[in-house]
Amino acid sequence: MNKSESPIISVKGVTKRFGSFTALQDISLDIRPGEIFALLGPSGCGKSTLLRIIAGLETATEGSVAIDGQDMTGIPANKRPVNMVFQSYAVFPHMSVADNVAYGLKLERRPAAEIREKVAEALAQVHLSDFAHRKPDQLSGGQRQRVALARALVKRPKVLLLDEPLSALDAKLRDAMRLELVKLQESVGVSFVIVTHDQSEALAMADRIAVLKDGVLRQLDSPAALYKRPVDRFVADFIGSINMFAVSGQRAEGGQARLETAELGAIAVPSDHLPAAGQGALTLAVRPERVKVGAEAPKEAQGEGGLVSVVGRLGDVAFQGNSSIVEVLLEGGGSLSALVSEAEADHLMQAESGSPITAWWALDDMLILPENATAA
Amino acid sequence: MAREKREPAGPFDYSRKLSLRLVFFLGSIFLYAPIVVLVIFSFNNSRRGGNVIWKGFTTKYYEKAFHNDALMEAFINSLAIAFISTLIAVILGALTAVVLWRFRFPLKPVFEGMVSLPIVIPEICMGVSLAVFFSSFGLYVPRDMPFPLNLTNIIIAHITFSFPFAAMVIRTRLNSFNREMEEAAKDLGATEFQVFRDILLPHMKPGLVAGALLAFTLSLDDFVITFFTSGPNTVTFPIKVYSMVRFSVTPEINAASTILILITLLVTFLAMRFQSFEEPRQ
Amino acid sequence: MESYRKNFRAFLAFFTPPFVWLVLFFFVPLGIIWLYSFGETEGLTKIRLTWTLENYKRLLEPEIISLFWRSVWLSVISTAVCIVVSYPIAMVIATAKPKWKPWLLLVIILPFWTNLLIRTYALLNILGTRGRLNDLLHWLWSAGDRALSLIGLGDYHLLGERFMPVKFLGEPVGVMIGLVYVYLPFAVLPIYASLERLDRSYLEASLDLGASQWRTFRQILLPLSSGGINTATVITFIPMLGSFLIPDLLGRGQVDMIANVIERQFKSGNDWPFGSALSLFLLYITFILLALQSFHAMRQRKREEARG
Repeated sequence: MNKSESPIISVKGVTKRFGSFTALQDISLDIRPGEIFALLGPSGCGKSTLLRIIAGLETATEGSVAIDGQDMTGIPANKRPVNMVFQSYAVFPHMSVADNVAYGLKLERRPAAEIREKVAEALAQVHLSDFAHRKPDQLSGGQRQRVALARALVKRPKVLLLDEPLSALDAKLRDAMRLELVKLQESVGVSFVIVTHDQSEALAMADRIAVLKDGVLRQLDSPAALYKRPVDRFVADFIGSINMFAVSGQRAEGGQARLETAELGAIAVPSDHLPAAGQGALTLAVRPERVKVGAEAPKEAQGEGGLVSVVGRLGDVAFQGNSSIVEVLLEGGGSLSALVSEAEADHLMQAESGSPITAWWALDDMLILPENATAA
Repeated sequence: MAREKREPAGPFDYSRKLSLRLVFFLGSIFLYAPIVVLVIFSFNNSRRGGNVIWKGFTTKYYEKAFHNDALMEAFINSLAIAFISTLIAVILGALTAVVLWRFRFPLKPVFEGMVSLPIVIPEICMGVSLAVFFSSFGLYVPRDMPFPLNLTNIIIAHITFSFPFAAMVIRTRLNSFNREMEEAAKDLGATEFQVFRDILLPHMKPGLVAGALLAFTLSLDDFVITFFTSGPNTVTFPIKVYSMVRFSVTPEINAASTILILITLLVTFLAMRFQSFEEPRQ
Repeated sequence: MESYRKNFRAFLAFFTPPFVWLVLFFFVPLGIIWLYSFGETEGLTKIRLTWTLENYKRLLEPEIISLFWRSVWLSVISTAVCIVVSYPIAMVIATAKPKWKPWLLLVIILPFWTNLLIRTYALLNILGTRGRLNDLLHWLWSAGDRALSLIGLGDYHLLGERFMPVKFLGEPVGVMIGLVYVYLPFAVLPIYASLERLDRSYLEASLDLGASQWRTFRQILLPLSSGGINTATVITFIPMLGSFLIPDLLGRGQVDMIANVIERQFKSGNDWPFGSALSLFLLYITFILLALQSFHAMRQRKREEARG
């Protein structure tokens, strides 16, 4: 990806209010040419509203959207160089597959021969050439989605907008379609903006992800960065699974900060590990795959940062194929989970439930997160 | 099939309780017997009091009915009124349905109530008020107006009571419209008008047809309101039959009635066909 | 749904024609008879608006009160019969196999699509003293009489010496048969709709808890379908109360209902102001019934919401 290129979509300070309800709060972000960009968040976070504002189906209360450098304020949906794949696909039921795909071109009053050629090309792209004359009610959900894709792509949009593209498909088809969408994007080269509530979908497909909550942009990063360096408690919790311990008290001691938690007791961390921005109580967090379990924590610290260890009792072991999740019941109440290999799990299975066990992890692997990094 | 029948009836399979089936059966007999008798006696070869004693089969009363000019004129009037009023009622009904489905506006519940009022008020009130309205505003169409303009009063009355029904049917159909279709069309470059023509109208079509069939039967059916809005020279089929019944009961009326029943059956059949066409698509 | 302001021109284009039509051809005529109900006849065709209450006072005349009373009880009994008969019919349809349902419904609805005049006329033929219904009764009488003879009671003429045809036409019973006949389909549909919506697990829970079938019917099914029964009552009672054709043809001028008297004021009696007052009175009764019904429906909906 060439980062010096100017953005294909530039969202500046977009706020959307419905009456007294604020759906979007001062959102600014850029979408680069040729990338898959995901808008991720729980339902009601405003991600779909943002997509609809980009498409022109909704108008922003404040702020502006520019597409390819052109301000789109006041330009209606039917005149914007972007196209959308709707959540319900919205394939017109009274038109054949070919007529659906041709509809947008007919509205542009293109010559019939050109329309025919482009429709055939678009249908081939989504592997529906044999279905051109079928009616939508004779198609499966997956096929209908392809029609919606072809119908949008045939207009050669500068950006393709997809609203929850996989939510209406069954689980098996969803995995196949993820891959296919990525391939399709590579072959057509235009940017895709995908709205989704499914973090695994976003992690698997997107080049960059914007995480939204309650209309506020919490973090915009690559999938790896979001996973490894979430900026706040919400993002850490929303992306992947994670063990979290609320910090109940905090004391500075020289170059270090002592953080009190109910489960882990007091933990000393270098002051520069503390988050620079944000508000609210701190939370300590560690991913299950970073947690080791055993009879006793090793004496030698692995990194420079040292280890955090905690003693507990063995809880359930949930088998997951090539790995297992081990539950450690902590003395101070609560529990944490650790992801262990098959061999380790076999070993642990021999131990009786409730027998003492120690969990530990490198201090560097532990995240110290504010409640909300964005709020002032 | 045979195996299903042997299944014992569940505790709430009311449809399989003999006593309840009997009520259904007797109820149906009650509903159909008079009509069946009427149809049978339309073929009765008896001059007077044709509905009392069976005197052999004949079709002469159908011939008589067809050669009864006054009856035929009334019949043609009825059909003309039904066609014209249906056309306008469907247009008004569609406009009403779209307004109620699409827009939020002040006093909307009031407008909704206004539209449903003609459905619920007693026919006699509407008939009387329209009769007074036409006469006191001098809106009685001159008697010598050419057909079908001489029927204007009746047509106006029929449109007034049938368009709310059409609106109701069309609105039900609109409720199943997926708004994303509209947005998808806009997204593909369609203007408001193009969205209406290319997407919304095709979706409404079965509702429009069902509404039209309903308006048509309502118009053919109406007696009371027509009774008050028709003049001596503008007689509809039900009005004509009514005056014949009051005068004397003849097999000719049976024949004429049978024809109208057949027409109604045909329209109902068409309506059902249209509905069963649409349902699997939902 | 969008605000009318967002696309005001489109809104006006859709809104204006039906609105104007409705006002001009529905509300203005109603307004005129409202005005006329405060007027006096002057000469043959002229009516002067004098804001007199005389027409309304005449509603209290014994003749008119007995007319109302007759209209009401004929409608009440006929409505009750309709509900009682249509409930089991609706039960049968609602629990029938899915492929049978539309056909059973069609059996009930089809007569409703048939011309009211023709149906009333068909009934007129059946109900005469020499009509089919009396034929049927005669046959039943002979069969009964023969049966009595067979068991040796023939000489006592327990069923009367001779068959006496029953007079239906011109009698209240004939009008009631007509009202039930015409409005029965009206009653079946709402009850059917409410039974169709009903969750069968309520009934199963009741049986499971030890209630009998009859008790389940009375304490569970009936209350849960009361919304349908209410709607059925109102939508059969209102048109019955205002019916014209049925009492006119089957009552033969002997069993007048409100509409027949209204008609006479406008056709032969030529007393438009009084006819208008009568019409409005009928209209007000309708409104009150509708208001009661929607009030009840609203309360029921609230209760259902409270139940979750």
